[in-house]
Amino acid sequence: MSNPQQRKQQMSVLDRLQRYLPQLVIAPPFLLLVFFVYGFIAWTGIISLTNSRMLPTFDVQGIQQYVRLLAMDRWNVAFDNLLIFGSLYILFSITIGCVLAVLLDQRIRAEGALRTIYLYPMAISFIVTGTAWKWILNPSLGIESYMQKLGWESFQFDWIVNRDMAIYVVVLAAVWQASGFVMALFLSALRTVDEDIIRAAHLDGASTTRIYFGIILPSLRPVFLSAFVILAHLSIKSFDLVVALTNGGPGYSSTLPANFMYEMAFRRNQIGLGAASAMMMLATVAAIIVPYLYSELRAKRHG
Amino acid sequence: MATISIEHASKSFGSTDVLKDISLDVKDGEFLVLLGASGCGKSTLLNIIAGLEPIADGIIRLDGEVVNDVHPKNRDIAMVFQSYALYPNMTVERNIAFGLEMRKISKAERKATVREVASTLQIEHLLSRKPSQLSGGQRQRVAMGRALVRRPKIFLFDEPLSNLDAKLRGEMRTEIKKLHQTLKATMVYVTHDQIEAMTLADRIAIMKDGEIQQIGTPQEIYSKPANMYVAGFVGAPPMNFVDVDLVKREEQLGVILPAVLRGKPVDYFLPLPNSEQLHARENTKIILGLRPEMITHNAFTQTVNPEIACDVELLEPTGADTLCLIRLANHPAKARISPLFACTPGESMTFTIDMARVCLFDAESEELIG
Ligand SMILES: Nc1ncnc2c1ncn2[C@@H]1O[C@H](COP(=O)(O)OP(=O)(O)OP(=O)(O)O)[C@@H](O)[C@H]1O
Ligand SMILES: [Mg+2]
Repeated sequence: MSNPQQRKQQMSVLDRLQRYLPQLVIAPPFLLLVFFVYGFIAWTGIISLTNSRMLPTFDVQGIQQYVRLLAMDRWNVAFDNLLIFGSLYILFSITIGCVLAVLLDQRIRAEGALRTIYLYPMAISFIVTGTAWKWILNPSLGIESYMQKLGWESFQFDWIVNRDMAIYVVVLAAVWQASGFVMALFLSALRTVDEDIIRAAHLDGASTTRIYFGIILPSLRPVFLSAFVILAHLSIKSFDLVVALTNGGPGYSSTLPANFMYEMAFRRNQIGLGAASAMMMLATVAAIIVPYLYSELRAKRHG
Repeated sequence: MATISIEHASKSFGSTDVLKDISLDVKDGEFLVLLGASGCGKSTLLNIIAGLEPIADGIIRLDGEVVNDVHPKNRDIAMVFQSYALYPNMTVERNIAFGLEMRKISKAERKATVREVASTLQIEHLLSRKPSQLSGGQRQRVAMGRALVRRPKIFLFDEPLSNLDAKLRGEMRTEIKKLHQTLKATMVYVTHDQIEAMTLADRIAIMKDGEIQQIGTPQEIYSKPANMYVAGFVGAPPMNFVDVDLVKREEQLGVILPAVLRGKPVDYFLPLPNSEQLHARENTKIILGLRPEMITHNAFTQTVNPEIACDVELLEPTGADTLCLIRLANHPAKARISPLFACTPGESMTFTIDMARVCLFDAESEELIG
């Protein structure tokens, strides 16, 4: 007599399993994520409030590490460098990527090949980029010596060994690497633009430049925003490029906060100070990402 | 004055020939409709007139002047695009004013003109919105406004109503017709909707695979289609095509029409009234084109038209008329009768054939022969 009922119960167990299966599958990675990412963020936060040196200690002292950090010339140079590097890197990558995309959008021949050539740098690791540019820019090996050998004796291009200019060398290499990626991003967006819009604008009497700058690019605002957020967080994370290209030098004139953090935490036994600098970087990233996520989520809810 | 004259224009994209030796004349103030199936090159032809696509061969004249190398903006042409192509980042007002802005017209004047156009199209309340906040019909009006505001001498419309629902389409059709009457501008209008073509056009050009099949008034196209493609394309339900033999009986040239009566095949002899030019074709196969309304019930007791009796397989009432599915030369054909005369399906009934209006086509070339 209980046969149908039993079956019903079995069914409901299966049903329930089916309903909770996604949660069950998602749970372990989720827990790992919470532990290793957010757990360690919290841990770093606590360490930054202690005076840990070689080994972490847990007696919270207050914000003295931050006070020390902000008074250090090395940190201030690194943070100023981040501002210079970040703004120039984002500005030039987007401008160059955008212009390349517009040019490639003119349905020229060999477009596929050109696109691959421009995109390729993104596939190279920062270490390789850094090393290659280090050789190219080295005064006694690269462009400078080459031009001098060609007979232009007074030619000088020694930014990489110049205190004031070294950070711009990092910008140069990073822009070289990222522009192709930005171009691909813009090109794919340009390709979704209705060709009739361009035709209509031609009939209305707009020049090609006017069409791109007055109509098409403004309608690609979301792409600009994505490019900005991607490049901004890449620039804050930048570490390996500096290591390979200038190793922070000359002196510490071209260090970035990530290099500073590594130097303090793992080389100079200043874990507390390193943690404080890491928290500063986290705050910088958050200042960019949080408004972006907020606007995205809000747009989705309203859209 | 605004005439368009295209002489032997051709265009290809890579190896596909999209337009083949097109010649076309549009008179001043004329409403010409380009009608054809999807992909036959209608939009391409419009783009060529507007100067948005270069042509490989041929000459385009506007008002008699060759404009092959004249930039689109200097041709004084406005176009409403198939997708409307509104500028997504601009408000409706700027969308409409953009053409004037590019022509360096003062801000005050721009504003006044836009207001005026907006009030004709009844879109004044939308002026501050972005295109993404408009419905399809509203977008269509804005696209019209953008074309109207420049007061060009030539308008090109690329299927402007194809994205609208049936009711709105009917309304906009009337408005476009009114607009043509008040503006008296030359208009070229692309569509694949034959009702639109018939109701709007002064003349229709039927296109197929990049070639113009026939140009004529709607009435000419309907009653004297140049070939079987045109005959089949225009008219709903389409013309019935029947393979028949052309024979002479008692000194009268006519065709043998095979039908079915009470399940058995019967042949009817239908004399052709105007058959002078057909004598050479005696005893050959030709194709008889019968529009459904040419096969109808016999409303009069006396008629000059021949009668046929045949089985009715199915009835399709459409309200005003009823369509009867019959079988001619082993192919289904449709007859159009008044619902009052409709029999029940499966019965047989007598139809008269309006022989004065039938079309005859060559079996090989499919061209009209009489
Ligand atoms: N830029 C292009 N490159 C290659 N082929 C094209 C291009 N534009 C159009 N074609 C081809 O040309 C032919 C005609 O296109 P066109 O857009 O003129 O058709 P249409 O008659 O307007 O069709 P529809 O009614 O669907 O709008 C099509 O076969 C199309 O595939
Ligand atoms: Mg088209």
